[in-house]
Amino acid sequence: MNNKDENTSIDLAKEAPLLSAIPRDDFRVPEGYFTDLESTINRKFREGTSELFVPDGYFESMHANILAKMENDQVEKKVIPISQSRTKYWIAAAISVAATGLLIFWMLGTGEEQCDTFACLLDQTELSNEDLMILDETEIVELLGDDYDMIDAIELKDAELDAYLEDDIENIDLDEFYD
Amino acid sequence: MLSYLGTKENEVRTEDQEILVDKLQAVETADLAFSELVASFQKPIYFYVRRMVLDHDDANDITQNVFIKAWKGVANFRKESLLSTWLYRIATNETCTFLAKKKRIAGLPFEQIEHSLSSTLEADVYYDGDDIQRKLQTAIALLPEKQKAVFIMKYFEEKKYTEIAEITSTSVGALKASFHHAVKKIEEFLKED
Repeated sequence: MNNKDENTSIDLAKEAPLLSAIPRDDFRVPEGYFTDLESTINRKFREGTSELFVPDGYFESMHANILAKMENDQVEKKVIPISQSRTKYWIAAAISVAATGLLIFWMLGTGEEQCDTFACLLDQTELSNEDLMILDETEIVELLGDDYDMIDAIELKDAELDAYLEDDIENIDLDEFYD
Repeated sequence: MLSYLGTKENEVRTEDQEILVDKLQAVETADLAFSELVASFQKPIYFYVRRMVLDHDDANDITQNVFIKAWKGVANFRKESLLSTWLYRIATNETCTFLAKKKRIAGLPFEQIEHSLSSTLEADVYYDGDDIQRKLQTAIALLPEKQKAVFIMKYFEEKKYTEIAEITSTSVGALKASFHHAVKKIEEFLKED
């Protein structure tokens, strides 16, 4: 830079003698850097200028990596021992589900001709009790389609339901499962 | 190893820049023109950025981003300024953003920044400066980002105030004041033991 500053009368050599005396060629770059830089930028440009890059060969090895990860996961999977106390909970839960299923079946009756019961609807849609246990409400509605409206016509009597539940549960001797 | 000074003889002529813009904006010549753009401007852009951020790896990353951003935006370039001015503008934005982020993350007090910068330069295998050159780089690094950009473009790159004004969107008068304040601050810093 000229010591005479552009458009001003300020002489840098006088104004800043220490600064003016310092050489300005102190930065270096690795050998061949600009050849590499040019090819790196051009490579990025030809790859589609996306800012999201993946390592070379990433997608070729992806399938093998996923399989390896799955194998590792299986090896590392913990085996949870079924303890006695846990068994008791499962048995109690199974009894409750079975009782509820029986109750619904009993309450809806047969009514084969009219098909105005839930059981009849189940027959029509080929949904089993097991299906109902794994499906959520939305899925059941979807499977029943227009017939779902008929469920509204089914009357459940609270008193009968309570009586059944009390009676049924009282008759089960849970102690035999707790040894 | 190579050093570089942004002197006039290294500048791409105005008419060549205009031709290059036309090629960049034409679909059939854009790919080749981009290679030409990189080849023509990588050194000035890299060394400008390097003087701003000091570290080679940081300068390398930012320089690459500058060209990729230039490619993405060249279709909208309206030729109201020189191509080089536009590239410096992108480089200045990228570098100032990088420095602001770095400063925020580090959160160091003034004295520690000074010590940290000096240590960085001492450890840098691609820095050849002696003690006084290192002190100058530390003084420059301690300037506010925009003032630093102005000082580097004026002092090392020998750009005209009018061009720096376009790059930084600042009036020529404000630039002159900024540059002379920077010179004073640096001279004072160099005088300190």
